[in-house]
Amino acid sequence: MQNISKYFKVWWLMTSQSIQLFFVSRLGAILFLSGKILRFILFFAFLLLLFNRTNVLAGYNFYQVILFYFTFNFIDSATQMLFREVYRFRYYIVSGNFDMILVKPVNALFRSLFGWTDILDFITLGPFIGLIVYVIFKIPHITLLGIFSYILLIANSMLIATSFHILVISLAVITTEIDHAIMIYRDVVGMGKIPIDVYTEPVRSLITFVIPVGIMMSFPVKALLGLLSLPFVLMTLFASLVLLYISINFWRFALKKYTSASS
Amino acid sequence: MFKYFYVTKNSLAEFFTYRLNFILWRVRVIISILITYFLWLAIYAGQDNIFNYRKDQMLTYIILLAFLTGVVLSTQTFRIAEEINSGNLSNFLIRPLNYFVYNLFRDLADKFINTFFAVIEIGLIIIFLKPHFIIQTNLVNIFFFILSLITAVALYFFISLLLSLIGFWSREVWAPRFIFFIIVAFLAGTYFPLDIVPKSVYRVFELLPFTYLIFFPLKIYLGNIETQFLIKGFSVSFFWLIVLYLLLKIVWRQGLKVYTAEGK
Repeated sequence: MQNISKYFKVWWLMTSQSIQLFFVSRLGAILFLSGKILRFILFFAFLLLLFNRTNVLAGYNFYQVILFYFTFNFIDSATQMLFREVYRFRYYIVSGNFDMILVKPVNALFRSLFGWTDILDFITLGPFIGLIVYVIFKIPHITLLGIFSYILLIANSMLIATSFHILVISLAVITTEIDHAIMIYRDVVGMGKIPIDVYTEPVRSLITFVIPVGIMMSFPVKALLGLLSLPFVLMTLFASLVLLYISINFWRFALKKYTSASS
Repeated sequence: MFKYFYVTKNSLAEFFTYRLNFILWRVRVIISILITYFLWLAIYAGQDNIFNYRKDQMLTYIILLAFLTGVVLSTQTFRIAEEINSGNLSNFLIRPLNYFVYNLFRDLADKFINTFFAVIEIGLIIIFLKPHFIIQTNLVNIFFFILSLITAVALYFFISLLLSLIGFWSREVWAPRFIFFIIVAFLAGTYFPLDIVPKSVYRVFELLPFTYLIFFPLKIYLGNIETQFLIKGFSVSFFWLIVLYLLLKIVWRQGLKVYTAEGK
């Protein structure tokens, strides 16, 4: 318990520093935030345009499809908010400054993942939650069990996202490559903007079982709509824990390969 | 003039130095094409004509995006802003070369390598996904397609240069470019053909330069060679080319007046 409290204090310290940085470059921050909002609105407008001509997309109606889109945006923003430090991780490795992280009395993985909280993404979370609640009220036959499964599977998505980010920074330790690896992760995850049922085989199986984008982005909404059975939900949770276990072990393996170059 | 070819040669060598980076970049391009491809495939399930586009026309449009993005939207001009902010621009100003031509040849390397791989990727997509891909054989279409492609390259080069020149006045150069990427992605037609939007909105799009980066060349490739469409399209494109060129000259001149070689 004492340990959790200590790490929360460290996280809070790093987060308050990130917020201060936000106020240093206010114009840039406002422009980035505007860009994120614009990107969200434009894709939403595209979906609206599509549903002017078609009533269903892969068997889902308009409100169901935009629930997938809003849920994707919520998970994506929450992930970006928490793990923004990963985008700066390569610098620590190529400059050798990672040594400074290793010698500090804070878990290096924790520091590398949570070192910078993105306040811009945090700002977008509230409106996304509001939109999700609004759309849920528009969809009939939503049960309490469905809502419970939805929240549980969103938490599970965050766990999968954590595992992916650990894998990416581990890769950075070994290869010093991270920029495109993290962007590929983002592009692949972006496939979850729309229901994964849209994709044909073998792509659908690939993004469900190999790269679990479907589990991350589509399963929460499917559970909410009552399209996912309980054994499947439990299996998903188990698979996420296995992925987390693998990623942590890969991180430990990568640390052994760290050569402290340029330090 | 020959000296500029060394710029292209060196830039190509740079690409091959960071091979993993380049491969991962191409993977990203393929993924983004696949997302749009499968989305449209699902929309066309059970029907052959939506938004006045046949299924084969739409899928050809989406697949050719990889090629168009490689030719038109690949650029190295973002480096200009970094060169201004770091003071490295001074190194170029004292050399016996034209900085804009230098950038054009640096871009050529980027475009060449991206286009080369885009052609291979399109081939792979056609082999594995077996879509009804339209191969344009009409010489008139091909002529105007190439002409619109050259215009698009020039337009994007000027717009991207202008965006980088913000570096003369501000260190915030990535935020405007981030917004620019988002605007181009939607308003150039990389998500969908622009004429599927309501007519009143499309009329506004027709006046913007972004429309002529991707949508206009692809529309010509798909077979639209109506005289009115071509005249209007090329007129607006050339208008923007002249405006952007003049603006670029003014901004460059004003920028140099405030340039302090900070950091050097």
